[in-house]
Amino acid sequence: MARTRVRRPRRSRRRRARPASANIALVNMIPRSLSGETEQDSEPSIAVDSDNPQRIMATAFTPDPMGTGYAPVYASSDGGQTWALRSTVPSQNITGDITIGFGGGGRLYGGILKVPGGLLLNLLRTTNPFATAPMTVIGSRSNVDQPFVRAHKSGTRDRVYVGNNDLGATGGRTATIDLSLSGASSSPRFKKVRLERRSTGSAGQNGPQVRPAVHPDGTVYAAFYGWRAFSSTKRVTSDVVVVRDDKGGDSAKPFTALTDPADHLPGRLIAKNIAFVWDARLGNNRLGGDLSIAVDPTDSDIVYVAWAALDANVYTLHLRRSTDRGATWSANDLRTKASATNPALAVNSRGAVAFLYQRVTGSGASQRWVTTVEQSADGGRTWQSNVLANVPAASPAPQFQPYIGDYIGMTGVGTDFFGIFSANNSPDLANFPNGVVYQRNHDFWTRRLFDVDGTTEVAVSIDPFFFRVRG
Amino acid sequence: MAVPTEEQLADRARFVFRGTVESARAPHARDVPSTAATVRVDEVVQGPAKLMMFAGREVFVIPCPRERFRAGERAIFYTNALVFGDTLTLESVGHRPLAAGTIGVRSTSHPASALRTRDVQKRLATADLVVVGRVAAVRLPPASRRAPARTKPAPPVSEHDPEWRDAVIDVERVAKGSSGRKQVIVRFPASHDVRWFRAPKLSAGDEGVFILHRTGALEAAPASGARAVSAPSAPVFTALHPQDVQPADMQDDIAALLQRARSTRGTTAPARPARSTRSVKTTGRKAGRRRRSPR
Repeated sequence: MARTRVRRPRRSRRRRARPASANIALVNMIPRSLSGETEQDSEPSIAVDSDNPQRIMATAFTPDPMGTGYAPVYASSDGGQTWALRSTVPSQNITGDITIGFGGGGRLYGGILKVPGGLLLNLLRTTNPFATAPMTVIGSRSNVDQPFVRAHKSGTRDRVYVGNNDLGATGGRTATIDLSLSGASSSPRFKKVRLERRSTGSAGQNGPQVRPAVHPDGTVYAAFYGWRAFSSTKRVTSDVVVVRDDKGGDSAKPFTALTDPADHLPGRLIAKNIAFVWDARLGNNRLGGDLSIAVDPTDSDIVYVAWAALDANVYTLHLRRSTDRGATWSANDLRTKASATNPALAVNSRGAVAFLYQRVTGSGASQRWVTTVEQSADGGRTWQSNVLANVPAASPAPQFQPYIGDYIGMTGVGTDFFGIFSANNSPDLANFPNGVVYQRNHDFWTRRLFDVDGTTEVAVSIDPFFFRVRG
Repeated sequence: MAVPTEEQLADRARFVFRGTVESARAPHARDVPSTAATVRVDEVVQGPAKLMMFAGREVFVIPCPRERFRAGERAIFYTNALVFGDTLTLESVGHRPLAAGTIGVRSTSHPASALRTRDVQKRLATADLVVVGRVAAVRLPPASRRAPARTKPAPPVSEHDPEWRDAVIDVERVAKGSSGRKQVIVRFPASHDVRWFRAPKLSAGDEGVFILHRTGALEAAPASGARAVSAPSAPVFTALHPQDVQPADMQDDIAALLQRARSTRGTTAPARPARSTRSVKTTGRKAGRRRRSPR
């Protein structure tokens, strides 16, 4: 019988823009074998193995291409140059939320909202994230929202912190951290710590964003929205609260080291009576508050926080800094970004801070999502700004919310910053002023995507993009 | 140990194809184990739509324990995907060699459709009730309806609020189970949040085959948005899986699948025809889309 001729895909003319900055690498993470995919791969997170930064894991709302009982993760073993997908997360096809973090010894921790299940938190671990074996469930609790994982190696033990909004908490004080100081043990114990010490008023709860930041010396910060009111028009009135623990969360009264000078209660209020509208839209993406926090690895006294609030009815990001362990904060914003969301902060081993965000420009059909990373090596006095992506905001049509994510991710390892965001994947080099590499089949000349066969055109969709900024 | 039948293998495999072993070894490549063989996909028999384009392409297949591949061997491969990288790495659950001269597999349906049928079969197997019917109305669950208009959502507030709705289904025929009523209520999430967007969204006038499961604690006590739901007058079910609502013109296919399941279970009683409670209406919108082409 005649052999079927194996067709090689038409080799994409891999026109690659000369990088505007040799220090920035940007990669579309969809692997070539998934060139036909048109999913909305939003809300990405990233974890870099600090023992070996070549090993990077990432997640997004990418469904399992096979439609199985597991959800996928992205893995790179070459510092983010290439990525492969494998389904190892025990959640049916996709998760409701997912974030990840590396501990020591290559161990990867994850926090997910499991499917099926309404708000079913599962805490996960694997000793080898590059294997194809499923991650192990090491903790589970219901009625929890937006688990946000940070892990840190501590000798042979790992310290694991999972910020979450525990809607089962009594008294409306729902901002919570689940922490384990022995994450690497065979059956790690997690301690649940309530962070809110004030009334949440008519809101009856905190916001979903509870973000930890961990320093090797045992200092742990966390930022959360202290909701104070929720109106019939879904307008949230809130404080932005920062708490701190100096013993890794193992203090007698954990996360009470910072108090506010006004009421002397634990939790420094760094912004009071801010407001935003729950479930409003910015460029097809839903809004409901944004928070990011990062501590300087060279000095745990220095901490940065970014949050979102309405300024003259415009959803706006604010960035401030403390140099005295959160006791006092810069009087003015280091950066203020209107019509922006998804802030992510990181500090590298030289004490330089990076600020990643996604901003909408233009109006109507010509709206654009502009993803920018800004760096400052002098504590926020001067900034170097680089646009990573400037893509259409009105296409493709949303498949679900969030369109690009309720958060994105960035971390500092050594002198480098590693980050991830989701955006329209049109292979148009004009959209990526610092250059880009696509793994999936594409043609930069005709600005088209192609399926595995190299000839069948594929529609534009939302893809995850990895970047590395060398410090 | 009994050798699994082709049907059993196909049931355990998401990607089934006729292929030729190009090499009993895979080239040294990232993410590809040394035990993998290089196999050319000659024809896809069953698989998700995303993999249809692999016909004519090479993939890497890791044999299952005690399984061996020979270079030049032609076979039906029953596999699941392990790694999507520069190419596709599959894990075999078994293969069946093809006799010399065999041209290929004559599949009666599209490969993606074959997989979807298998998924529907699994939903049918666990369903408490399968009915053919029409959505008469969609409304808030009872306790939510009693809430005064224009109040803030009941705490807790979450971006994953399912926004439960009750669809009242006029039952025309019962294909599996027994409702004892001419109406059933299907509680479904109206939310387009990532957690819920794949669940079928129902509207008044939709006609279809509804593959229903009894409500669990999840739907009876919504996490947010709606208050605790009191017991309604008709029985309450859910249809949360994308395959749980099929187009009305699939009812014969569904009946055949149910019949096959009964036969497989060795049921001695003859399959009863679907019980009719109403005349079949010809108006109204079709629930779901008849997917003749793969997604």
